[in-house]
Amino acid sequence: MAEEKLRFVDPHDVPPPDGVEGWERMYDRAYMFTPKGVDPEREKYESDRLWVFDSLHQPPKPLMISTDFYDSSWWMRLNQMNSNVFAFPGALGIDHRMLYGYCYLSSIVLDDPEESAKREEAFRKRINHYWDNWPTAMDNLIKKHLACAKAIEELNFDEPPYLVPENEVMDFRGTYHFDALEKNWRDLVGYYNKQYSVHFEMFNIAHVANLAFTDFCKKAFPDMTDASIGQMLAGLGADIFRPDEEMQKLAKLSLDLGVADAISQPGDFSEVEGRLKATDPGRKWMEAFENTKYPWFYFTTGYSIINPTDRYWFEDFNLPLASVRTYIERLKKGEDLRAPQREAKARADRLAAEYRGMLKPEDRPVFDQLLNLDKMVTPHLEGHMLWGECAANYSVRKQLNAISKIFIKYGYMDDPGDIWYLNIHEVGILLRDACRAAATYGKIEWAPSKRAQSAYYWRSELKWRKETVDRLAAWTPPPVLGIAPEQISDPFLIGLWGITTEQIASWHKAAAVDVDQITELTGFPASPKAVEGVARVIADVEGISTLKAGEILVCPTTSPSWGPVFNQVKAVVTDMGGMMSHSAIVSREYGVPAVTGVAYGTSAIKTGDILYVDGDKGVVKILKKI
Amino acid sequence: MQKWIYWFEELSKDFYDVVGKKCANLGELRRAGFPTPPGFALSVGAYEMFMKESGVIEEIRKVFASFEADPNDPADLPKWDKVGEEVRGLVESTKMPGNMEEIIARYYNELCDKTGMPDMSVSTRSAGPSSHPGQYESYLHVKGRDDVLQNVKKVWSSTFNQRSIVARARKNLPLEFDPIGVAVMKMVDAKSAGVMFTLNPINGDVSKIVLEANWGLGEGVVSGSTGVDEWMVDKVTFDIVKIKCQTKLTQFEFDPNIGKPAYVGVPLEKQNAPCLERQEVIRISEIGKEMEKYFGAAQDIEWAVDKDLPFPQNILILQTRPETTVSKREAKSVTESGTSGLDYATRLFSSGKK
Repeated sequence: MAEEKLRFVDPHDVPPPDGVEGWERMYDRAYMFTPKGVDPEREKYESDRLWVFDSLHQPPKPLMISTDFYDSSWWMRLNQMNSNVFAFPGALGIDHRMLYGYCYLSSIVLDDPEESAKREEAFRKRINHYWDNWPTAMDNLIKKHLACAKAIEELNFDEPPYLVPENEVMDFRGTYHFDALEKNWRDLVGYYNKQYSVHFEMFNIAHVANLAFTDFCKKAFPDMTDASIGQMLAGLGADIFRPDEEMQKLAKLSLDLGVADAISQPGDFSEVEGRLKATDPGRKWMEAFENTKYPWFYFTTGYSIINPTDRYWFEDFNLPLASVRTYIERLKKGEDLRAPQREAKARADRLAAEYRGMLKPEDRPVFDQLLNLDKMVTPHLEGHMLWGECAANYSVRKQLNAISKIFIKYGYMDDPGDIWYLNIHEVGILLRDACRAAATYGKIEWAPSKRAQSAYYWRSELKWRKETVDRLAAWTPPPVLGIAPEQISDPFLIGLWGITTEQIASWHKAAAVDVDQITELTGFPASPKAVEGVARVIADVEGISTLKAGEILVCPTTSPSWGPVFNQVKAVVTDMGGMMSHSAIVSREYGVPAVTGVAYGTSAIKTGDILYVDGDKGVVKILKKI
Repeated sequence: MQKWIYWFEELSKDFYDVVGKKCANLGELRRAGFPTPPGFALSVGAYEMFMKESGVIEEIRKVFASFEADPNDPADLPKWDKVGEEVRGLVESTKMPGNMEEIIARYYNELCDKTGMPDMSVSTRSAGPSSHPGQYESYLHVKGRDDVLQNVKKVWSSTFNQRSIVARARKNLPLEFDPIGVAVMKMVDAKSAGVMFTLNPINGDVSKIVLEANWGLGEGVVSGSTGVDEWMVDKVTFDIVKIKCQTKLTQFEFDPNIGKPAYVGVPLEKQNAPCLERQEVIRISEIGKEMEKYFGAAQDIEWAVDKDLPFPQNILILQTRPETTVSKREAKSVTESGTSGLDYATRLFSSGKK
């Protein structure tokens, strides 16, 4: 029985936001949907499949650098791991397109049983090798991430001295330093690509273990909820929680050393540092603080996609300081900071043992194997963010700041933030033009108008880009485009992005009504318990400061850095994300009820609405609209 | 003379043949500490004693001796109806022999004393040695000595209702005699009541408990004549994973106008409201899980929520029997023998479509 396929707007027919004509030239041609009429086969391929807006990885503004690095990561490296490295038998890559600055994804399934079977042997052998050697491979992976970050940080993007140092000339080297900048940029892009190969090295196969356990549970217990499965895997910890845990240790140390008051008293980090350095115990605490920085201060309060607004702990010590202060207060009240995780872990073990007891005896060995596999990999599903995202992005951001100084000096821009409006190829082109100017005129100060030759072009182009990107940023992309298959079968799409057949149906239903009329939303029962409370709709991490303790957080999605707010909120509702999304994992870790993947949360709910959030059933009701 | 009347506390699973399964199970539950209404049981032997010593069995034999009808011919059903009526009339008008009445009355009075409620309402329920759900009859809201005695006889005489005698005739069993036990227990004045399976009877998921309930007495659920509310509860986390709240137009309840329970309309404001509170659903499920563990098999349980008692004392178990339909079906294992976690994962990712 063929069900009626659900149709959404055709990707080629979405009208552009006003005043963005020419927007395509800012981005790589490869991101675009095929223009109408030039390649009917590709056009049909695009029209006939489902495209889901990837709000999980959409930066706050569709900036060119962000998008190109997104391409390096999700677009290319994830796919390499599935298609070419681990030889996934059925799932190939995730196809992407960009529409008016927003990335859409569509999963590619190998629909050829014979080819699929051929890949099976390689797949088994390869994933099993990783599973068998997981801890060693994981150590290696972290080392590779940190080595790449370090390599990027060590690249020199300072403007070279106008005369090559004398000794190099006397040594007959014949080199010119400005050339190195263009090469260093290429190296940076190469290291970044490597970062994301490593990011996905163990990430996809971690999902394999997680999805296999989930599938097994649902076959053994047809009514098993995602919430129960999630609870069996709670309390395992993850590296991404480590920075916060280190701040707990520092808070405890400050109480032990008797310097907690010196930290808690008002003042920014430099004032606190001044107070501490005046006493012996204070100096001791500062020493511990210094020793904690690497690598934990790669942590950011930001998005997983690199962008200019994120702030990293390495850049601003007030961020970790705020965390220490919070923990000092909680410790003074006698709170056991580790209790929630410990309780979650004990509960997880009890649940797993009970479900196991209900299985047929012959199924228990497979249950044990899959559960143990999943417990082994689950910390990485969340923990990878500290290495593969925070550390990787911090080092690039740091260098972009350095390069922007040259671009300002050579007249391309006045604002260092403008560099984000160049794509990765253009950064290389500008460095090349700067090199040309320095060589031609000796010094940029001696050049006509003290600018590089193409500066006039980029100044006007960047002005236009900033206006255009603001228009794109103000646009609301439809959550889904194209035609939905009868059944969503790609386990990645389901596990990672939370896109299920039911989810598509509910989007289709919601698309037919005015968002203001929506009073009930369904998503994933990501973290249990039901609560009622006041909504706080936050579009991006900048809005975090408006959140008041005890409110229900409603947002597009969360990233590691939202971590601290999970302490404060009563419940969490996200537009995007499944049972294993960041928001889901962290909510369970903190014991906060959560419903993820409701699609229209941030559009249907307004700050101040009274909500009922049922994390057991995955339902959000708007009880009272403001 | 053999003992023929027992307090529930004296009974256990070992008494299946003595007092019938329902009574024995109630005793077992009570001894194990599960919340059940207090009461006593008349043994299968009490039925025999009544029938034989009162001499009514001879009269019944005479009736059947001159009776002829085909139990497999639907056209003969009115004949079976008629003969059943006649025999029931005989049984119900026969006086109990010896001091039987006094002893039953004494147990009833003691039950009233124990609960502190003179002339307490009880139910008189049939309890066959083997399970014939719905074959015999039970009577609710029975009140006072005479009524109790009469209704005990009515339970006995329900072994002569049409469906019981036809069933015996089809199996070539003696028609004049079918000993059963009788439970006399405190009538639960139920706010709501229903059944519970300690697995999902639809798909056999053993990690779930399914409750069906309606306002009023549980008969309203068992009979299937009205919409009911349904809850599915996870047996491990006790999360309510599904709720189906239907429109409940009628409920079975004591009707003071006619002095016995009957189907009455559900007040409008309660028709679409769930008939259990969340904490009640969870407590009932917890008891179900404990009962399953105690009996070592999935159970089909009748329960009620008392109108007057506070939570959690208001939850009472009325009956339990092993769940047989689903449990008998051979549940298939998920994996074939020798499958490893790696095999399982590989297969999951092997073809795009599953």
